[in-house]
Order: sequence, then structure tokens, then C-alpha cells
Amino acid sequence: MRWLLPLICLAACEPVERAPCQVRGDAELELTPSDRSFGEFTSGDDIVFGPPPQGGAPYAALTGRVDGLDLVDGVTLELWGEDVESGEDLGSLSYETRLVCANVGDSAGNWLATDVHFRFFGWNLDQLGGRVAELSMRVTDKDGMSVEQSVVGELVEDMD
Amino acid sequence: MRAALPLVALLSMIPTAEALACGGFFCNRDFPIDQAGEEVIFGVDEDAGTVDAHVSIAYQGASEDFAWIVPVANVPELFPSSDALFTGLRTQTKPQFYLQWDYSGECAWDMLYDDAEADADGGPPSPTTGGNGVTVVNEERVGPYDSVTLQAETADLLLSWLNNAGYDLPTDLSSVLEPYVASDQYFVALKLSAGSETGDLVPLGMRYEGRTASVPIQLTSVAATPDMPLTVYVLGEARSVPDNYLHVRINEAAINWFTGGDNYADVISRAADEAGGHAFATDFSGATRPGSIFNESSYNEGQLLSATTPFEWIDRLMGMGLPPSAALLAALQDAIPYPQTLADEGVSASNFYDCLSCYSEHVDSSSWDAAAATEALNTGLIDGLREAERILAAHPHISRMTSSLDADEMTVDPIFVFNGDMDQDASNVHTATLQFDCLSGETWEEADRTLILSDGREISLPSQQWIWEHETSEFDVMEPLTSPAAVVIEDLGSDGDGEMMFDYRDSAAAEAEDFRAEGTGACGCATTSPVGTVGLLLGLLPLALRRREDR
Repeated sequence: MRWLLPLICLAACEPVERAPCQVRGDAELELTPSDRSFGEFTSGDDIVFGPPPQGGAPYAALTGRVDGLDLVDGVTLELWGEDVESGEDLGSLSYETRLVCANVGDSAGNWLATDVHFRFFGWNLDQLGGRVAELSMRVTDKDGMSVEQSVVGELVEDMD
Repeated sequence: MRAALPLVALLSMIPTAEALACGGFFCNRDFPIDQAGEEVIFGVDEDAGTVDAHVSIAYQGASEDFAWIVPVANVPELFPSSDALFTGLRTQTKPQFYLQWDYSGECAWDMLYDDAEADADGGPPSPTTGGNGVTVVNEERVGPYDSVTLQAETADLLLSWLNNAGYDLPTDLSSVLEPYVASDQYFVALKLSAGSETGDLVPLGMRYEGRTASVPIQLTSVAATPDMPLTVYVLGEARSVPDNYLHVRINEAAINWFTGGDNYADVISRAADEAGGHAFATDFSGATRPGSIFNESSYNEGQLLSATTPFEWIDRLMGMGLPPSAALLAALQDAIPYPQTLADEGVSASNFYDCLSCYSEHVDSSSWDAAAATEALNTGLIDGLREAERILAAHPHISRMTSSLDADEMTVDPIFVFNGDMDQDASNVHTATLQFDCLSGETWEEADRTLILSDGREISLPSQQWIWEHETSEFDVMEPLTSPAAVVIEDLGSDGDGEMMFDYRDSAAAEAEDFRAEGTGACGCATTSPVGTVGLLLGLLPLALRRREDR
């Protein structure tokens, strides 16, 4: 019989390779509109928004990238927005979710929140275009540690 | 139950071949209900700028309390759809998992033969103002439903108007309706027409201007169950992919091949969770099959119209080979009433129609009207089958995608786009091979085995005898390899191959190699075999710890 089971093998085990998304360094959140790669967006650039095809409040898609937090047990994701010039509240949203631990590509080793929809609750499309908005995201882990980041740009309706 | 169940599917199916084999519509069996969660079928014609959406509707409760509502971007044309469309597409695209047995070496066959034998037993009118901030765009009867299409200034006004009009919707819908109201969406609300019963429910078809398929999942959160499956079929010119949800490729080692993949829904749920809760897996992508749902040439309306008795009518209909479905059963009940006395005696409707002559004393032949019965059949079934065929003929490609969402994950309406750059075909048929590695003289039960997955992973498994002796299962033994449920998490879009975020394939292959080389443990230790369950658990511990660190 070749079916072999290890009874005492801990000492002989292969070393575990370094897992991605291990906590290292300072906690940090990078944020970008989803149509841009990280590092491409600079303050004042356009932030594209539009209507969901089958209804609901207008939205802008954001992508966040987190380092330095242990998010394996999920996060609380908070989003809020403000008109930079008038100070008007452009909407807010909070929910529990899990981020993806990327192990390939430019974001390998980081936690990713892709295509997060900031919803402009209470606003119509024609009320939003041309506004300069600050859209913010906060990611909080299960221990209460959090990071937040904002993007500021002019809202431009263009969501195919 | 007052609550509407928006976009929740009522799905019934019986394998066609099995049904026909017994000579009746329904094979004298109770009609099984496959509550598969929410299912929506989209046909997207980008050139014409139209979207057809077919939505199944499930409801449990009193007929007078039934109400249903869905937001749409533009004023839709409404039409009754067919559950045969759902059944047909589901049959074509449902994931299937087959385990082929392969014997290598010199297996002793006597016991195999003995056990094998033992096993063998086994278009809108002009808007009108509804008053109080509500604009009624259209009111019409659609199949068994009274429908109204309307806009409102606020969700509260919308609900107030609908409830006053007899659409019995719960007031706690207000918060999820409000965003749709705020963006000037239209709403289609349904209630059952007078004389219609909940048994008459058919899927609703909607055709509206648009080029993108999207499910208003936020509204579903009101009536969602935990880990509610969501299956979306998108028909169009090319393969469809989720645009604002991630795409996952499942880990075939997470599938329980020894039970026909009956844990697939669980794997999808775990994979979606691993992708943050917003992800779909592709169940199938490939060509549509026009003619697979309804063969027009086999339907002879003239024969039905000339039938002089209900017995003759139903015999002729049975010969036309219509697939069994809830819609067929409902249409038959419209054509030939199902006697309440038989229901009281416990005779099911399907039994009644399968053998009408068996219950001839309960059938009123004196008032037989073949034209009325045929018209009922056409309205309740044939028109829907023809519409199902129309949508198949209109679109060369179908994609089926499945997700699983909790109510609190229903924060984003999933959007689906076409991608002609990717590999267009993804089979729903998955096969693995269980190889029996017989040493000389070993029976198949004594032989160690290797499970070979389609991606080439070879997973060592103990003998069948060992499994029996230790009162465990192959799937339990494989547990260290069943996570993660998603081996690839990727962000797809309308062009290119998308961006991969998580790729566990190499790691999964390496783990399978370790598993194969070292038994079930994470290291190369060896013991003589077999050992007890405690030993097995000790062996799995290192892998479990390692998995935790990997996450």
C-alpha cells in the first residue's frame, strides 16, 4: 500500500513561501478613478461618472489599493463625496466587504478594491457635470485600523 | 406573505427524455421545483439598440397579495415570456461534472464486477398623470398580470400610488427604490389579474432601448436569501463578461467530483466571497441552438382545432413532443380544468393530464370547445415558446454567468458587456479522471487512486477500501486542496483579456504535487499505511496553517 500519511513531520516541512499581502510597512491607501491606473491620476483631472444602465443613482467607479493592514477577515468600506466649491454633500455609502489580495500584476502584494461605485445619491446627472468633487474612501479592518484617501477632480459624464 | 419577490426565479424542470419515455407529459410525478435563486435572460441587440430581458418570478402566498416591481431605464414593451426559455437555456448551459474511471495496472476484476452489479440497482401609449407626483406611462394586461409602467417624484409617492391601486408592495422598499426614482427611472409593477392565480405565474419579458445588460440587484436585497445564487444569461454577438464585477475561475479541486459536483453552488459562493463578494464565474459560453426549445414544425394547430373531445385533443398534443414545463401545466389547466375533487383526493395535476382518460368521469366533454382550449394553449405556452425561439435565432452567442450574493453585498448593479477578444468558448461540461493505480493482484477497491483534473493536476487519493474503513470520503481527504475556491480572480472588460489580480494556478499545481508525493501532508514524511483519522488530521494541519498565512 503506497498511501502514506505523515504523523510527525512538522520539523521536516518545507519552509512556507512568503505569502502576498502580509502586513509590512505603514498602512496606506491609494485611490484612483477606475479608468486610470494607479499613479496616472493627478488632482484636478476628470472624474468620469454616469448612470447605471438599468437605474439607480449616478456613479463614479473608483479603485483602491491597500498596503500595511491585515484585511483577511474583511473590511468596512466607506465612501463619501463633497462638492469642493459649495461644500454640498454628494452622497455617502458604507458596507462590509472583502478585498482581493492580488498576487500578480502591478498590485501584487496589495489588497485591491476594484470598481467600487461611489453613488451620487439624491443627485441627477445634469446636476453633477462640471462640479469639482472630492471623493473619499476609508478602509477599516476588523481591528478598527483604518486608512483613507481622496481624489479631487472635475466630474465629467462619460460612462458607456 | 405580503412581500414582493423581485426578480426571483421559479424554476421547474424535468429532463425531457425521461418525461417522454413514460408516455405522458409529466410522467406521473409531482412537479419538482428547482429554486435556483434569481435568473435573468438578456438578449442584447447592439445594432438596433434594444435589450430584451426575461425575468422569472417566484412567489409564495395568496394570489391577491402578489405584487412585483422592477426599475427599467426606458419605457419597456411588456410581453409574457416562457419558462421553457429558462428550462431550455438551463439545460444547455448548466455546469456538469463527470468523473471518468480509468483502471491502470493489473486490477483484479471480480469484486469490481460484483459491486458494479450491486450498484446497478441502485410599445407604450401616451403618458397620463396619475396624480400626487406619479406619472403613469402605460397600463395593460400581460399574460396573467395587470401591469403598470410609471415614474414618480419620490419612492414614497410611488409606493403610495401603487398600494392604492392594489399593488401590494411592502413599504420598506422605499429606501432601495429611492435611488432609482432619483435618476428618473421607470418602474414596471405587476399584480395578478382578476381570475388569475399564483399558479399562473409566468416569466415576464421586457423590451427596451439600451445596449447593456444590467441586473437591478439592489432592489432584490429586500427579498434576498443568504448567499442567493444569481444566474445571468446574456445573448448577443459575442461572449459576455461582467464589467463592474470581477470574474473568477473556480478551483476544480474544490468540486466534489464524487457527488457529481453537487457543491458547485457552494464553490461559486466561496469564490465570489474571495473576490470581495462582487464576482461572477462563467458557467458556459458558446453558440446558441435555435430549434432546441420549440420545433414549430411539430406543432400542428389544425389537429388540435379539429379534436372533438378533450381526450382526443390531449392525445394529439402529447404526440407533438412539447417539453414538460410549468407553463405547459398551467396552459393545460386553462384548456381543460383540473377538477378540485381530484385535487382533494390527492391526484396531482400532472397525473391528471398524463392520463386524462383515467379520470374521464371528472372531465366535462359536453362543453368541449377545441378552439378555446387551443387558444388557451397558444396564449399560455406556444406564444412564449415562439418568443424563446425568436431570441435564440436573433443572437448567435450565449454566455451564462453565476454569482452568489448576500443582501448586504447587493450594493452595485452588475453590468455585462461583450468581449470579442477573449476566447469565445467555455464549456459547461467538466471531466476529471479517477485512475485506479492497481498493483499486481490488487482489486480496484484496494488500489490507490489518482484524481486527474482537466488542468493537469494529479491528486493522490487512498483506496476505496481505506475510505470505507475510515468512514470518510475522498472529498474530505482532498480538503487541503479545496481552497481557495477561485484559482483566478480577474478584472474583465469589453476588450482584451482583462487584468489578472490573483492567480493561484501555479501554487495549486505545486500543492497537488506535494499532496501526491507526500500523502496528504505538507511535507515529505512517510508512515506505513493506513493510519487513523487522527493521523490524517495531524497531517492536514500544516497545510491548513499555511493556507491561513497565504491569505
